Amino acid sequence: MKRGGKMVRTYGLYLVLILCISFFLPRFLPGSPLSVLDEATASQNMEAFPDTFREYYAPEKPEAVQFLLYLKHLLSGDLGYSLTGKRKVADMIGESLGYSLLLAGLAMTVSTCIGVWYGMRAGLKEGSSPVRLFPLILLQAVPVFLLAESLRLLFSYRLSWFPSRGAYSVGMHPSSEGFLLDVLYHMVLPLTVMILSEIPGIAVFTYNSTVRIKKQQFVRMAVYLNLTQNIIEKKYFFRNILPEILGKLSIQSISCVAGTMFVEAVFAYPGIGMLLRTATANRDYPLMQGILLTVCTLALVINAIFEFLIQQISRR
Amino acid sequence: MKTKKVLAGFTAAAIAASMITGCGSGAKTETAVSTEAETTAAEEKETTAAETAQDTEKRKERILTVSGNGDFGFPSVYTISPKGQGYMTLSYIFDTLMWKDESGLIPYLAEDYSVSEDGLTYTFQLRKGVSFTDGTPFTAEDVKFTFDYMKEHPYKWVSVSMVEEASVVDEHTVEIKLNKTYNPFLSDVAGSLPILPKHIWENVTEPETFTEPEAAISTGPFILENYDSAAGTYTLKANEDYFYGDVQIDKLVIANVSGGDSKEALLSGEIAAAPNISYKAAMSLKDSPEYTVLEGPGLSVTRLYFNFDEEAMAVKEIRQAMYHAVNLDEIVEKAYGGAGYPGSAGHVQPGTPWYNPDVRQYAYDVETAKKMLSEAGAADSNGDGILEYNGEEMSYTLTFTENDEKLAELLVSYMKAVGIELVPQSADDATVKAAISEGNFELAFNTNGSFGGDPVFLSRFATVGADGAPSVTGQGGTTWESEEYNRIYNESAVEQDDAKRHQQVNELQEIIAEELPCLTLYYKKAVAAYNNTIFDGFYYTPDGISIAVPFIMNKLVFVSGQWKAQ
Repeated sequence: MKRGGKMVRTYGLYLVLILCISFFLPRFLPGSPLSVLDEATASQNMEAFPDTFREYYAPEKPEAVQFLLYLKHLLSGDLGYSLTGKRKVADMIGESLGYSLLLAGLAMTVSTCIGVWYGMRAGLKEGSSPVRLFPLILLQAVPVFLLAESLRLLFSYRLSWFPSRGAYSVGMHPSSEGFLLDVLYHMVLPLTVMILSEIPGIAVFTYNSTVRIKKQQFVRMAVYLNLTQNIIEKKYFFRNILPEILGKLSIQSISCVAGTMFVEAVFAYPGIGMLLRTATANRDYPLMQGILLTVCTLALVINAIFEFLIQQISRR
Repeated sequence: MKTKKVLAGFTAAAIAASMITGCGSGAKTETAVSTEAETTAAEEKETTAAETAQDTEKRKERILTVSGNGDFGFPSVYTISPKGQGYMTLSYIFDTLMWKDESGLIPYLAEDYSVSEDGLTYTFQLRKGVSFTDGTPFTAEDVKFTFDYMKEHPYKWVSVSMVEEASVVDEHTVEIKLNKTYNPFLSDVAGSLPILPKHIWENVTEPETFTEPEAAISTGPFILENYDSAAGTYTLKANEDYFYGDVQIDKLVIANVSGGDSKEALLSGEIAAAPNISYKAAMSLKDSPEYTVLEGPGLSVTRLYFNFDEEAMAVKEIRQAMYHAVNLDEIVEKAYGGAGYPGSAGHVQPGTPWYNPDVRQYAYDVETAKKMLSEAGAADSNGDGILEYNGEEMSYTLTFTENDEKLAELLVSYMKAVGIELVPQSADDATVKAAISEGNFELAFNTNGSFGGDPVFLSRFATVGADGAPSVTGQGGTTWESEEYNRIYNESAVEQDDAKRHQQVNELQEIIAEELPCLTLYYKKAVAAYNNTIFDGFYYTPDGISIAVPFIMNKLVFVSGQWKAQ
C-alpha cells in the first residue's frame, strides 16, 4: 500500500500542476478576448462586457482572485461559458471530445495491433538488419499534416472516393437514417492518416525490443530445446516485451490525442483540436482553460491506466 | 493468455466508450431541432392552404449550399460573432427598418420615413401585415422595445447611444428622438439594427446566453432549422410568408468550407457559391462559363502605424519621406497578386463617394525620400548603411500578423534602400492588435475592415470628441494629435448639409495626407465565385451589407435571384 500512497501523491501533484497551467497559460498570451475584435466593435465593447461572463470570469479582480474563483467553480463542475460560442464550455467540449477520442482510440488500437505484429515478425527473422525498417522510418519522417493533405488531395479531390471534410455529411444529425454509416465513411481518410502516422513508432520499438530479447540466453535455450515456434513467441517474446510496449504506448497514446489536432485541421473534423485552435485565436479563456484541463486530465488517466496494466503484467 | 485477455477487454471497452461519447453528444443538437420544429408547426398550419394552391407540381427541394467559415456562434442577436459573416447570417433571420440593395439604401420594415428640421427626430411608418415567423404580428411596439432593450443591453454591432427616446405614435408609426445629430443614423443604425420580437425578449435578462430556439425568431427570409456548432454548419429553411417577396430557394445551408478548400468544393459540386474563395483561385475560374466570378471593394484597409514615442516618427518630414520610399503599386502586385488597390494618402479609398481627389499623394521616389530624410537631420555618420537621427540609429521593429510576410519583406527592402532598418517581428493577429492598442510596438502594420460608407470612421484620427471626452483611436501609446483635425471632425459629425460636410471631409483628408498619422498602404479587393447553373443573381452591395460587410450574399439575393438547376 506504500506504493499506492506514493502514486496518489504523485498524481495529486500532477493535478495541481494541471490546474495551474490550464489557468495561467492562456493568460500569458498577449492580448485579451477583447483585442480580437476590430477597433470599431472593440471600442463599444469596453463598456459592455457581458454580465454573465463577468460573474464567472471577473476581469476586474486580480488574477490570484480569479484563479481561486476558477477552482471554486470547478468543484461544482462548472467550466463556465465560452466567450465566443456563448454556450457552456462543458457542452462544447463534450460534443468535440467524442470525435477526437474516436479517432485517437481507433487509430491507437489498429496501429498497435499492426505495429506490434509487424515489429515482432521483422525482429524474429534471422539476423537483425535495420534495413527492414527502412519503409517505416521513411513513413515516420513524413509530418502528419503533409500525409493528411496528400491523402486528401489524392482520394478526395482527384479520385473522389472519400469525403474531404467533416465527421458527417452536411445536414445529417445523429437521428438521421444512415448516420453511423456516414460517420464511418467520413472517418476512413482521417483514421488512415492517423494509423499510418502511429504505426512506425510502435513497429520500430517492438522490433528493437524483440531483437534485444532474441539475443538473450534463455531464448537460445528454448530454441535448443526444440520448443515450437509459437510457444517461443508467445511465452518468451511477447510476455517479455509487453511491459516495455505498454510503456511506449502510454506515451504514444497521449501524443496521439494531440496529433489528432493536425488531422482535424486538414479534414475539418470537429474534434477537440479544432476547438482549441479557434479558442486560442479568439483568446477565449474559459474555453481554453476547459480544453487544457480536459486533455491534461485525460492524459493523466491514460497514464494511470497503463501504469496499472504494466504493474499487473509485471507480476509473474 | 491472461494478459492478452486484459488487453483485448481494455481495447474493446475503449472503442465502445469512444463510440458512445461520439454519438451521444450529438443528442443535444437533436433536441434543439425538435423544439424548433414544434414552434414552427403552428406557422406551417397557417400556410398549408397557400402552399397547396402554389405547389400543384411537386418540385424537388431547392437546397443551396454555400461556404462559410465554420462555427461563428448561435444565430441570434447577442450570441453570434460580431464580425461581418456573423452579422450577415443574422440578417437572414432578423430584419431591419432600412436595408441596402444594389442601388443603395431602401425602405424595408419601415416603408417610409421623415426627418425633422433639426435632424434630431426620425419618424418611421412601418409596413402593415408583417408577422414574426411564430405568427405574432410585427408592430411599432417591437421597434420601440428593440431600441429600449439595446440601450439596456448594448449590442456589439451597432450602438444606440445617440438615441434619446423611442416612442410609439400608433400601431405602425414609431418616433426616434436623438440626443445629438448623427449623420449615419439611417444607414448605420436604422439600416443595421435587428428588430427583436417584444413578446420573446421582454423577459430575457441575459441575452448573451440566450440560445433557445425562440432567440432565432424574427421576420426574416429564413428560419433556423439546425445549428450544428461542432461541424460549423447552419441550416436555414425559407420563410414562406416573407413580406418582401418569395424566397427562391427552400433551404440555405452554410457549410464549413475554408477559403482554401472552396474552389475544390465548388468544382465538385459540394457548394453552389464560395463567398470566401481566395483571389488566385477565383481568377482561375474566370474563364469557365458555368462559374461567375465577382469582384468588389473589400472595404478593408491596411496601414502602417507609427509609435509617436519614437523621436524620428514624430517628425512629419520623416514620415513623408518614408511614404515616398514605398512602392504602393508593387505592393499590390507582389504581396497580394493584384487583389487590391494602392493606398491613398488621405486614407479614404479612391472611387468611393467621399474621396478627395485633390489630396497630396506621395509618388514612389527613392531619391526624394533620401533627400527629405537628410534634410530632416538624419545622416549615416558611421557608414553602416543605417541612418541616425539625433544620435539614435533608425532601426525599428516591424510588428505584423504572420500571414503578411510578403508585405513585411517589401517594406523591409524599401526602408533599407533609404537607410532605415526594419526588424520584422510576426505574431498572430490577436497579439498584433493588442500590441497596437497598447502602444507596444515601434512600427506595425495591420488590416482592419468595416472600412466604407459614412466617413464616421475618420474618427480614428480624432483624439478629443465634441463633448471633450477622449475618443478611441484604436492605437495606444502616444498618437498623432491635431486640434484643427479634432475641430473639423467634430463639426463634420453633426453637419447636416451634405455639401458642407463634403467640404469638411475633404479638409480632413488633406490634413491626413499632409500629416500622415499613419501610412495607408492598401485596400483589399473582395472576390467571390459561384456556380451560375445552380443559382444566379449575387451582387456586391455598394458600401457593403449593413456597415461595410463585403459579401455577395445580401439576403435580397435570395428573393431577386433565380434558381437555375433542375
